[in-house]
Amino acid sequence: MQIARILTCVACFFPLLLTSQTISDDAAEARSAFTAGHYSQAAKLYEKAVATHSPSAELQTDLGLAYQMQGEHLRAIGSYVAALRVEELPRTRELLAIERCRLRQFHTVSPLLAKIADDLSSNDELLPVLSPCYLQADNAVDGLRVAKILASSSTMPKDEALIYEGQASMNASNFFISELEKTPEGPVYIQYLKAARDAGSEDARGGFSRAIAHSPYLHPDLTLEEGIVLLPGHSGDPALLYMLSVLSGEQAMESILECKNKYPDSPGLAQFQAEMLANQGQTQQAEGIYLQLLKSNPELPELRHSIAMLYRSQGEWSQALPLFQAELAADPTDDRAITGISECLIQLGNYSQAIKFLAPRLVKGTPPLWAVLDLSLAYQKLGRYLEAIDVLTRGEKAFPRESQIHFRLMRLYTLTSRTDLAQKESSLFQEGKRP
Amino acid sequence: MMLSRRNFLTLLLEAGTATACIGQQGMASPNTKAAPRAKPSGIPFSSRFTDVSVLAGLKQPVIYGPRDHKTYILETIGCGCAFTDYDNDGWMDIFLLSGTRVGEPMPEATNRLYHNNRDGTFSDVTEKSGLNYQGWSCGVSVGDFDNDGFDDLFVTCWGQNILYHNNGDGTFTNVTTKAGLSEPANRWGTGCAFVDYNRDGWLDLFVSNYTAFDAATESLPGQHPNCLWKDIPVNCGPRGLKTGLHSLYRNNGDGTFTDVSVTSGIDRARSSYGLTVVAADYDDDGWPDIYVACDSSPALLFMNNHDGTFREEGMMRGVAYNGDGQEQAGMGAAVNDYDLDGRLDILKTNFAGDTPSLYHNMAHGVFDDDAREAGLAVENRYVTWGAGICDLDNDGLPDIFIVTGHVYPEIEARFPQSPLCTPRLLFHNIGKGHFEQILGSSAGEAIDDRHCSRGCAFGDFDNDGDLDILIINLNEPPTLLRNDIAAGRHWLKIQLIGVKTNRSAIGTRVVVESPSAKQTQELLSQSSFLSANDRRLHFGLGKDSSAMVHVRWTDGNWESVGQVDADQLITIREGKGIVSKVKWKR
Repeated sequence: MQIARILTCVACFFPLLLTSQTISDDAAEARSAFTAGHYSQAAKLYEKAVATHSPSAELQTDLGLAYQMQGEHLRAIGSYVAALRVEELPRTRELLAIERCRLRQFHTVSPLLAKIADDLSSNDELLPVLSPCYLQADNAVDGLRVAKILASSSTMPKDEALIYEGQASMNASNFFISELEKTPEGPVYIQYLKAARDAGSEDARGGFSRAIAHSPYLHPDLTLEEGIVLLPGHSGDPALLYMLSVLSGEQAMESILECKNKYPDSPGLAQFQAEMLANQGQTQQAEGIYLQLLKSNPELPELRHSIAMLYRSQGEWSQALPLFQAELAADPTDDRAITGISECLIQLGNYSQAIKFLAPRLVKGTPPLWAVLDLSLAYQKLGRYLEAIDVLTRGEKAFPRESQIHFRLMRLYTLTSRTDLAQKESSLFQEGKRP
Repeated sequence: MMLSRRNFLTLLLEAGTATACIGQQGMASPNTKAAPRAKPSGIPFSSRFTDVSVLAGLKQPVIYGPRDHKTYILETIGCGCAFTDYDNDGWMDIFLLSGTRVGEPMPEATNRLYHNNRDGTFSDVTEKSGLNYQGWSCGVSVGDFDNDGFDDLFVTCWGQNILYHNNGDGTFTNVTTKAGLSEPANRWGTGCAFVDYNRDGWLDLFVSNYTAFDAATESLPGQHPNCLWKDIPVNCGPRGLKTGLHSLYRNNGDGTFTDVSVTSGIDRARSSYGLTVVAADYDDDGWPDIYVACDSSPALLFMNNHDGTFREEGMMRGVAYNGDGQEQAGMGAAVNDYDLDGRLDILKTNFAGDTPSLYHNMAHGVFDDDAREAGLAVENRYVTWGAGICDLDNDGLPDIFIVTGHVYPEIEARFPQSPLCTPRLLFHNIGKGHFEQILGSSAGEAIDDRHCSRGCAFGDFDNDGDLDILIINLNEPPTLLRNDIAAGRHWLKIQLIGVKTNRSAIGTRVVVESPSAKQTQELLSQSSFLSANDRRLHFGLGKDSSAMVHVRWTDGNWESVGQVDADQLITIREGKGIVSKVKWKR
């Protein structure tokens, strides 16, 4: 479902880019190949064009698109980043955001999302593709803006839009609380929130008068929107942070309760309820709702992942494994599913299967560090020390400063009596630990 | 259902407080996430523990600094304890260490010796024994350094360590100076172990040191970044303090010792805050090696070169850091073969925000931290100290027991999730190298009791064929946990007497082979946290009613005593085989 949306969204970029370029002769051939759907050939031709022409953001973006259509996501990201160095084309930024969100590179996508948020209101294709990313990346305040756009858009069913707003508001409230805790006076205001929680009260506004006395630019009827406008100028003010945490918490409650009243049978609402239960540690109830949804609405986004993660949190590796496998079948690029499968196999002690699953994934390109570590561990557990060493030495080339690799190699060399190599890895390990 | 406004507030607060920032601090904690806790296996744990301290007469508190605040790190580290049969009557007596309070004379704050009355009670014989001592005691090791047949005591202290000679008549004599063990007054000895490192039949002595500490010049809470924890002023260190130098003393065989720290190579390890010491043969070469758990610095493993020298290889062999190569604040250490593969593994206890380390001996003394795979990494909330890998339910599989307690009483008011007093941790070995935590009071309410604990020792004080547990609680009386095991589980206890090798048989390896399993143990003179266990090795046998027993004495010679019936204490004298069999009634 989400994959189809992404492809549709990416496809809508083709004509825009191709018509907007002043195409040179040698790039025209690349364009023809691209239009004919010969992406591999197009990529080669674009590579040649990029190498022989002066830096062009549009050519680099086209090259990235050609990579993207072949599933070469890391190379696509490289091209988009190169394009943005030449010129900040909004479309390149959007394509890069799509790829980074798809690969769950949330720490690097946050600045992009911040720049894109306002443009989403005019882009019905991009909005459903990127909006989930705002809930997962560190963009709590931007998420509130996107929630408002979704509420007035027809791209998402109304019940889902309300749930989105509830989640975005919860994220924002958590963000404000964590910022509040960093301030010296934070604990004073946190006490008001705790007092409300402990008393079973929905009113956490007990500290409003204190906040207003502390910061006279605030007032009792402050709205969430007003508060967010004030935030850039007063980001370290505990009084504002406290009021924003309360206001966004209230907004979360209102959105979800509105959804509950208007759409009591919403599967999205049930999924949200299950997530809340899981977060509260009420795993059995959460599991019940999830399994019911798996029967009635298996197409719900993130459903299998959520259930798999619930089982993972309980150490139920054998139950999590098939769900991660189903998740991977639905989206072969989903790194979360690959990580989950690997972890399950290792935890189950099924080291042979882990090797079978991971080894082919480490043949091409730069493997992620966790995969290097998991595969080498699987070999090590089976007593196949030389193969474990081989995996780690290959990983060492990609991650030369990674202390975990040196640490493991050091012990494996000691175990196999290769003292000189163990000493060398020991030096590298210690070097990596120096600040 | 749960979509109430209150639920939202709970969720928001929990998520928010989880992100509280952690500033620089004096203790190493890698902030390791706890692993998911699996659903219960349903495998029963058939032991129950009952706190019998008051009934047993252990009523005097172990004083160690003030209870509600700690100005100096000296007041926080605490001390160990020992099960020792000082009068050779066949019943375990109790030796408890103690600290005191800075600038506040407390005559009642003394190390204490309790004599076992053989009826479940103990009598305080401290004065009579000559073991009265007021000061800052830390660690204890039990061993017969002069091979006269009576176990002596070595006690580490801030200040002068003490060697007590057991006179064999219920009294002890401080022979520290006579033995040549006097040291400069400002050293802070912590871990200690009797170990016959050169296999000459005389017990030598290894002492770890924590730091050079002087209350007169020490910084006060909050004075610099190493005196803060989550931005709250706390006692300083150990980071920022000078690291300790460790010592090895060779027994000359005439009641005196020679400091060989420099010539043996021990002196070269100069960057650690040493705590618990466990000497054992980790690489199966027949010579004792020495492991030192170190606070906020890499743990040390001194490998024996067979020529009176050692090489430090903790990092190379995988026991200096956690499995990810991160530094930890190691406190205690326990050694046993938890997965029954014939090799000695190491459990290390650490600071809060970290999980225990379970170093699995892969082969030849190279280890891998298997805490996660083994099911120990489910717990990261507590500062963990004394520990044991021992079969507590006699099912033939060594379990894990850990005591806990925080070092900063000041933080509980702001961080209720970091209380001073915390529960004991019990992990049941369910086979194939996996453990399952016994939660709540299913193994007895005493497991869930909250104390600020430090050392603990394992031994059978009531001679009923199981392992009981003695625990040091700071500024409270100690806890004595009596173990009661459901019927139907067999056991075997083995007492060893060296003849050519050291009389206490410390370092001797015993392999017990029953139809279900082959168990390997070594007789240690210190483990847990600065503590010493009952020297009678205990083997649970489950359903097996007999076992073959093989002994490797410390000179490397093996001696097999053949098939032995279960449910008895056998005494094996080197070269003579079994010289005594005692069956106990339960």
